[in-house]
Amino acid sequence: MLVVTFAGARISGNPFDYLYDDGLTAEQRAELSAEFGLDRPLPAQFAAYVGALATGNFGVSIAQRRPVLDLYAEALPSTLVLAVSAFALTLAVGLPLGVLAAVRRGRFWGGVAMGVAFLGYAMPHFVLAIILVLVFGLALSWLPSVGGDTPWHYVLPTVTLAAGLVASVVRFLRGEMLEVMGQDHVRTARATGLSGPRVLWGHVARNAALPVLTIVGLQLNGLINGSLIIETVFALPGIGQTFVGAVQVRDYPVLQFGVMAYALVVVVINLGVDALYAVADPRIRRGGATRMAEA
Amino acid sequence: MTPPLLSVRGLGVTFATPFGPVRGLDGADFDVAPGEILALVGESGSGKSVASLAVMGVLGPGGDGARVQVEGSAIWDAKVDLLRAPHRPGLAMVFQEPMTALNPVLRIGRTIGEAVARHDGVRGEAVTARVTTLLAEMGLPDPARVARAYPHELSGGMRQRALIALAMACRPRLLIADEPTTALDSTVQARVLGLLAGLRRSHGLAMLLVTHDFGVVAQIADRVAVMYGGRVVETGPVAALLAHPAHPYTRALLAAVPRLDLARGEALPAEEMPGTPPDPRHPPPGCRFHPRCAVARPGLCDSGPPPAPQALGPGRAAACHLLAA
Ligand SMILES: Nc1ncnc2c1ncn2[C@@H]1O[C@H](COP(=O)(O)OP(=O)(O)OP(=O)(O)O)[C@@H](O)[C@H]1O
Ligand SMILES: [Mg+2]
Repeated sequence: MLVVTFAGARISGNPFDYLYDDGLTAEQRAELSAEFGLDRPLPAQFAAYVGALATGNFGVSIAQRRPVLDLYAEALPSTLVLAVSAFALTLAVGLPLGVLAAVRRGRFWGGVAMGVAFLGYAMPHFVLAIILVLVFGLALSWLPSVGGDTPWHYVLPTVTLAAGLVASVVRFLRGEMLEVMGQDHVRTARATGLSGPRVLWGHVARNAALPVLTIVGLQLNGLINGSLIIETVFALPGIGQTFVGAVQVRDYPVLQFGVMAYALVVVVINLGVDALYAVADPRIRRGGATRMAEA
Repeated sequence: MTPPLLSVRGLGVTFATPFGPVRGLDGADFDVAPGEILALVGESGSGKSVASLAVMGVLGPGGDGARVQVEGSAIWDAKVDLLRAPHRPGLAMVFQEPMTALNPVLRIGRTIGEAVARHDGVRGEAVTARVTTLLAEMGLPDPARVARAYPHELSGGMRQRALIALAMACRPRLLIADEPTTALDSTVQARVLGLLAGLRRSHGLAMLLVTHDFGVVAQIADRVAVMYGGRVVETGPVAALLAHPAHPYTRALLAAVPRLDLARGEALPAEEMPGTPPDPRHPPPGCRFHPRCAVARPGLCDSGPPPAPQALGPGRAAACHLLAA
């Protein structure tokens, strides 16, 4: 991982070519290279990099001459706001729509729910982003479309990011709901006198939500990828912007940290999803545990 | 005669399938008196499960207009949507497969607690207490621990007891049990049957017991209704019906039961019933049983509407052309 990032960054170009496009003299270039340790042989650079990492030093941005960690720390809140609100919107819209799609299958509202899901699924982020900006930002002027100064700035990016997730939640939840609805215990629940809605939400939707949870969790990876594009399109000052900016000028320390952090987040998400799933489904949590014996 | 607790008249169910309509139940009639155990017997596919689900009101789509009535209550229609049908107070059901009949992701206590809250109108501690009492009453040791368990953590017998506790939480007057012991091994079977018999005594509970085991019938039932091709072909008190079956189908069914009760060395081989049960999509004309019947009379049994039950002495009736002739 470290090696790939390190080598990949260096193969693709030299930061000074991008930062100073009016050209540098040979002395200036040598001076800068020495300052950031880029004049040493690659193995030595790598050893220094790993050594610094081990002491918790993530380096300094070549472009901005500020600690990498500070750059990301500044960008983090914006990204977090975007991710959390997109996730919340996904659940708030996706769960009811998914239930609706299952309960009203083959009828008008079920069709509407599936139509919404299909649109969200079929449309790439950037296309949706552009449509939203054109309609709500430019034509109607209801919402700002560039920057991250006010909460209103987050509305369009959040909707864009949530759209794809909503689509998968609806489709998966519908399928799971239909499966659970055919299971015997739903009949038992009805036979004990629980009301239809009670059984629908407390038993069918509850059981169906478990597998959907995993799907959504795994798609958080996609959410991160999506936020790279979306922050760029909407010029939100988030981590995605920081990273994409660094890639454009080959700001090695910044992009190395970005890739590592991304890998770490992906791992954490996957572990988190597994843990969550185990908490939610007792059959996994206590899988293989001893049964209570017949008395 | 006391009025029946449950009265079922002309119960019909048609399933829409990709291969055309399937008549799962074709006008079944039966009654259950208060405190009585009526056994519903018959070959696989004769409509026993469909009848019990339709009475309980949890069949889902397929039922057509029929009269199902529990003493003094409104008359229910068999045509219901599983998620919308109103609950039928006084009825509760024990299902055949206790593993799939319980929600796998809820603790036993939670599932039973929901029913307790619904039927006793209590909350919190009172629910927990009642759940524990119910589980203890079903003969489960350490009921508090069972309440905290998930269905997959219990053995088959314990699960079936938990399912019976769930049914009893509904404070039924009539318990419908669809082959409650079929999925269990024989020693556990006997204990669960003992439990059901005990509940009948202690609660004055009536039961509609679906089974194809005549041993079970002889052990705990008061009356029997024999089903064939979606109809009840013979009813009567257990002893009389087992001793002197009137309908040719009942006779064939009893002859097919391996006799373990004869003296050792004398065990008779069971006589296999000839033919196969009627295809519910294309039922034979006349009496449904005539193609397999040893005594069918051509010109009588294969024509004319299926016969109406004939009274044959106290509490007994059979639907056979030959008895009417
Ligand atoms: N959901 C369904 N869709 C179509 N046909 C059905 C359905 N459920 C039952 N049937 C049909 O209805 C008839 C009666 O079935 P039922 O399950 O009541 O039989 P049973 O007497 O309970 O048999 P078993 O002893 O095997 O449990 C059968 O012909 C069956 O194929
Ligand atoms: Mg059955």
